[in-house]
Amino acid sequence: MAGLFSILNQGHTGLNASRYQMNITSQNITNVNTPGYTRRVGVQSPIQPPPPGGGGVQVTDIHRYVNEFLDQRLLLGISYQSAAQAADSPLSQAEGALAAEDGVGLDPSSALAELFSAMARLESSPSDSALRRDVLSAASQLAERINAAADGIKNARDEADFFLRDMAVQATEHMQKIAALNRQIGANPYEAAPDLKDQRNQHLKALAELIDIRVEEDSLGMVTVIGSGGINLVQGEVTGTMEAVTSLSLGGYAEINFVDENGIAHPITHAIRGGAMGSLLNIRDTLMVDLGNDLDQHAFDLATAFNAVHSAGFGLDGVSGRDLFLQPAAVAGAAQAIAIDPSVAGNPDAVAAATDPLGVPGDNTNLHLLTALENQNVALGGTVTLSAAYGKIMAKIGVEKASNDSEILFRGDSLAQLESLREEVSGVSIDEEMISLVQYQRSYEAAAKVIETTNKMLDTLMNL
Amino acid sequence: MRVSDTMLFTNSLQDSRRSRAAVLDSQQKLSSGLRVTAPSEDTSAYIKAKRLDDALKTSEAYLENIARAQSNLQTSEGVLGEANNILSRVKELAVQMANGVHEANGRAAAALEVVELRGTLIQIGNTKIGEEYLFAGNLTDTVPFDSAGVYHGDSNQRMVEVGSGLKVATNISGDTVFNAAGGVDVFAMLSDLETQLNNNDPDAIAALLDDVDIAINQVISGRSDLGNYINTAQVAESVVNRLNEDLSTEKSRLIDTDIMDSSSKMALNSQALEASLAAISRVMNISLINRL
Repeated sequence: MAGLFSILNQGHTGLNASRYQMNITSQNITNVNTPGYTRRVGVQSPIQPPPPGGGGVQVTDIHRYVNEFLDQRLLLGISYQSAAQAADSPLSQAEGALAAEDGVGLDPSSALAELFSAMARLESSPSDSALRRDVLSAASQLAERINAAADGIKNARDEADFFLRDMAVQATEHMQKIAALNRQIGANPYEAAPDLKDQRNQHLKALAELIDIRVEEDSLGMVTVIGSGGINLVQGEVTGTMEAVTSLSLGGYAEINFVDENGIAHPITHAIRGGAMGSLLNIRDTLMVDLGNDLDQHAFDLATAFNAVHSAGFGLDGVSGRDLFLQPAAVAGAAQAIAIDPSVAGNPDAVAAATDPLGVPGDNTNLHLLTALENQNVALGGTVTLSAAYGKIMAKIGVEKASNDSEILFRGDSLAQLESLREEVSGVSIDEEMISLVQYQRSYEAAAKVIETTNKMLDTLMNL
Repeated sequence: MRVSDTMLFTNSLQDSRRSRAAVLDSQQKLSSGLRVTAPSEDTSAYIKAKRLDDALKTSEAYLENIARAQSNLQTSEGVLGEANNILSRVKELAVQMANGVHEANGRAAAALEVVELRGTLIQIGNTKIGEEYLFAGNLTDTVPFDSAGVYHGDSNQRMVEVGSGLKVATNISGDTVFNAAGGVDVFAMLSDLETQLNNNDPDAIAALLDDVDIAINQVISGRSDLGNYINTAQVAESVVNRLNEDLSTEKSRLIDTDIMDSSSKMALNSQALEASLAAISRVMNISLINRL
């Protein structure tokens, strides 16, 4: 008797297990498109047949198909890819400002060529006021183009700073979500854990987009998130906030601090290397500063070289000693400050075409000296020509942008590769799940058959 | 290898996206005609092209300078041709009047003609193009010769650049033609001639004949200088034009679209796109769902 009832029980556990598995399978199927969802399967184990137990089957655990090594690499891949993406907009802006194509406007390089060309034209008729005006307008256009390029660089820095401040807020949100999920997972490691872990993974990925992180999982399933510079951003249930603080030493741009749970601020501005924040910090504090300095040097060299020749010459009015450009006091800030000198602005007669005051108005020899600057090494401490010096600036931003463009492609590809590797392990395959459905349907039917058969056996026994 | 459904979809999406981007890229290059529009697309080509562009801008200025120089030089040469005719007429008169057969009234009439010719010659010396006196040296706003024939210009020659390191003169100063150092002051000579004609002195007139020849030679040598400058300007023009062609060709080679290359790439990319779309539709249709 006891034997038959225990068979009934066994059949019951079979029904239960099959239903449970069906449940998991349908969860897998319905989440086929859920980002970050990890395929799972119930782990079945037999219940020991009698004696001692009643026999049958049970689902003892839900297994998530994850490859933790791959997940770590995925976080790193996300950081790289996001870093390259974040750099794109400021780099494009700076490139456009430093080397605009025709149609958008002259860039400082073409504007310089236009100035030399206007000066060469004036040679043939130094008293022609229209040609003189052309020289002045070419000079002021050159100054404006350099101003615009300096603005473009500043805008790129401003934009990077704006995004950095926003990202600090986002990072804080994700860190706090991760800590909260840690707490829930730690309190309840089995039942809801698969879904909570998937959720936490999404926040880890989002955090990795912002900043390079390393993740370690403890025995309770809680994670420690280690950020750039070895600071624990999240440790179990404990976390802090990421703050962007306006800093005077950074010229009003934000410094990034990690404020821990005790309210102590750790400066991490220089520790952040990866992710969008690392990339934006590099652009804001290194690359654009570098380009800005180069542009300042160019503006300074240019004004100094033109002024030296121009102020030695004589205008149509026989007056000498006038600068063509407002002489910048220092290299720093020269690109923003460069302008046509007030003594020549709006005064075409002031263009110093002559070297000999007695040769006015026909003497054009100072123009020869001015146009000769085109081929003289007057830039960068007398080592290269002005246009070559500007060429270096264009090359710098060009190479930087080009390498970032290929970085975007490369990092995008390798991230896609990693995602696809992860999918290979963790993704849901409808075909597989369909087979599972059939499989569990069959096992359910079979378990029901066991009960039915046992029932008949009991009937037979009853009718004896 | 396990293939999950998401993998299938994202890979398909990525492949078709990449093919589409490639088609768009070659289409843009074809329609804009430019292969390189920013330094990042091909840094060294872009910067070389910029240099060529700078040189092309300077060349434009050279060509304008050459045109202006030629106009100045040709006008100068033309009016000096007139001056030559006038001095030939003067020589004719002087030779005639140095002959004893002429009467005093004939010489007086000749003197009147000489006065008139001298006036025309001063006008020639004061020829203007636009606001500039051609024969005033650098003092282009000063009337070079007053009615007494005194020169107020300077003896400078204006040079303009017509090529890298190549300059051509755009004028000759009035004094080299009409009042050359070691030569003859043409206007003073004409005044002398007038005086001697009025004095009815054939010997003194004959004595001026050498000076008339020297004056004619001064004008001729001025014209031949101008002719040389015009030649130089013409040579410079063809040099600059050829250089411009080379620069443009090189620039185009660096940054323009290679039509053949881009067209065939576009065809190739379009085919790749179609193939990948066909493959996607094939793969998407295969699923166990349809069979169970």
